[in-house]
Amino acid sequence: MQDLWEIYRDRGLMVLGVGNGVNQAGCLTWIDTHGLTHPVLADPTSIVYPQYGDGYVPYNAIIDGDGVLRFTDSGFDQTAVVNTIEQALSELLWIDHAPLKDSEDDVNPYTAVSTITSLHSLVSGDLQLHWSVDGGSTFTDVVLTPAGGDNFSADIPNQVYGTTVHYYLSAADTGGRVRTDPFDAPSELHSFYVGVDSTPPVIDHEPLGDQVLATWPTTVSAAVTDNQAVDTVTLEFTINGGSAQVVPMALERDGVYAAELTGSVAVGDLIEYTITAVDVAATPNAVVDPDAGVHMFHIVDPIPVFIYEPDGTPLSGAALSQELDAMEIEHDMGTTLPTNPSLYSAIFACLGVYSSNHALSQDTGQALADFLDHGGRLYMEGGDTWAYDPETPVHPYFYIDGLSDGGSDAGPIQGAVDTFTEGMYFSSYAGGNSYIDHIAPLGDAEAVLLNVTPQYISGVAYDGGSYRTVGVSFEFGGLVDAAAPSTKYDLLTGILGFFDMDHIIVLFQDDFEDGDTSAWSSVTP
Amino acid sequence: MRPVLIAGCGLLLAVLAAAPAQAQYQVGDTVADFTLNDAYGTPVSLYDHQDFVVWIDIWRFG
Repeated sequence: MQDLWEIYRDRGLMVLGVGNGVNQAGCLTWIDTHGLTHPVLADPTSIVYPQYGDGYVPYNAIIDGDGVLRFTDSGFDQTAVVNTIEQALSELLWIDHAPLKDSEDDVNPYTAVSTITSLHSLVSGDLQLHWSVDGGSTFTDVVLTPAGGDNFSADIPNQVYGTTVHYYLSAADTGGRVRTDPFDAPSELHSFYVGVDSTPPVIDHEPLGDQVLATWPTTVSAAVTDNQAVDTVTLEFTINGGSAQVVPMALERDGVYAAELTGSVAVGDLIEYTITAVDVAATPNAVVDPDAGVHMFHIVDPIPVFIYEPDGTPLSGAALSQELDAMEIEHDMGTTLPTNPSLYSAIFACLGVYSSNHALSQDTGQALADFLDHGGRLYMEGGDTWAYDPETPVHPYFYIDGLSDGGSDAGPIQGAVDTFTEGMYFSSYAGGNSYIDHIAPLGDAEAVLLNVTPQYISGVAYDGGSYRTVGVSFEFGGLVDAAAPSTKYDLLTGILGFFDMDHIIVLFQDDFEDGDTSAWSSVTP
Repeated sequence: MRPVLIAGCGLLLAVLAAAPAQAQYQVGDTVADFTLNDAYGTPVSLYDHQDFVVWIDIWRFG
């Protein structure tokens, strides 16, 4: 809901969350858990639901701009909800207007352009701009002039330096509806200043953290705004304190400028950079980000493994961590993906099994797809992610066909001949065991883990050339170790080998003296 | 057939059929106002948002 709210709020959508049987404290928890920014209402005595609902909660109702109920449904059918919202929004009387900016022009009029739409016909005489030079006490009204299609324009006459102009737009349609822009006009107004512009642009930039070679050349982006208009944005950088390179940052979209850091770099190199923005003022105003000094980061070696475990009942993360510890492989673990997943060579995503399974979000799926596009290695397990939960952008990378939702039927589990799991047999499985998806390899992918009773495939590996994946429908942490090679250590070793990462496994032979490192060796692929 | 599971705000909510309730509104009806307190105790009314499209998302803790 939050996603759709962010997309449509500026087009006239209000989202009201209603906590059925939930008090204020519960609503606060809900807001925190889901990062909501729309109103969430407490309905502890369940007043609203009985007026609308005839199925089960969650329940969605959509009301149009005329107060007419347009849609109700239990559950969440995103397509139906989006279609209804878009249709209802298109019927609103709506003013789309980019507010006028400050100006140093005291000779020409200031032309306000807008797009006005409605289900009904517009009342041409009621399409007006109202402007004021006394802070909004008195307004001069100007009827908008058609400018082709749904576009309209109106001029505010030129003003002397030192004037602040306030204004708003209003419209009415033959359906009796009215609209102003801003929404709350005239208590809220647009304004712009006519006079010397001494206000520099504002740069909003999230400094880059350390980067790995796989993501070099690295893109630097920044949102830049100005009270009048931005003229140029430039990126200046050095590598290891060498000569400064200056590159223009191009406008990518909606106020966001970007450029690439380029040049030859190696692990350990230090990159320092600044961003400079200049406005269009007669006497240009400039600003540099950061205010003082420079942004800096290093090119680093990737950390071998990140364990991403959003599972509601975590199990595999700890098991993977234990085996990685035994291999002395550095790894981090979290319930959310790191900001820059490319800092890791491999990600192990543990999504869980019904009823605490985590359905991968589209955004996280896209982040994992991007990770694979940079040559990443991805292991992903989940009882519902292959055949039941919504497909995300990363799923096609696995070349896995989700055949069926499965049942409570995991185990025993055995390896597949001629693969890195050959000879493994886990007779006992103690992990989550509900609706274990039955899967199959597509294209050149290979079945690597097979359920014995009943027979189905529960693990598929794919060598995508630049990236590699292993997808599994049970929980690694639920495997009960038997004699080698039927242990979690052996299976993880096999996965890391398939990922071309087994050279980092440190083998330790216990019968040597402490401090004798002669027995430490690396297994090379 | 598994119990119906619905993804809501990224959380899976186990849902049960609610006690039978007669839906008061049908699609096409003009709906009446209601007022509830938000999470911070501020009253919010449906009619505060007239002239907008309003999506009422009714949820409960699974």
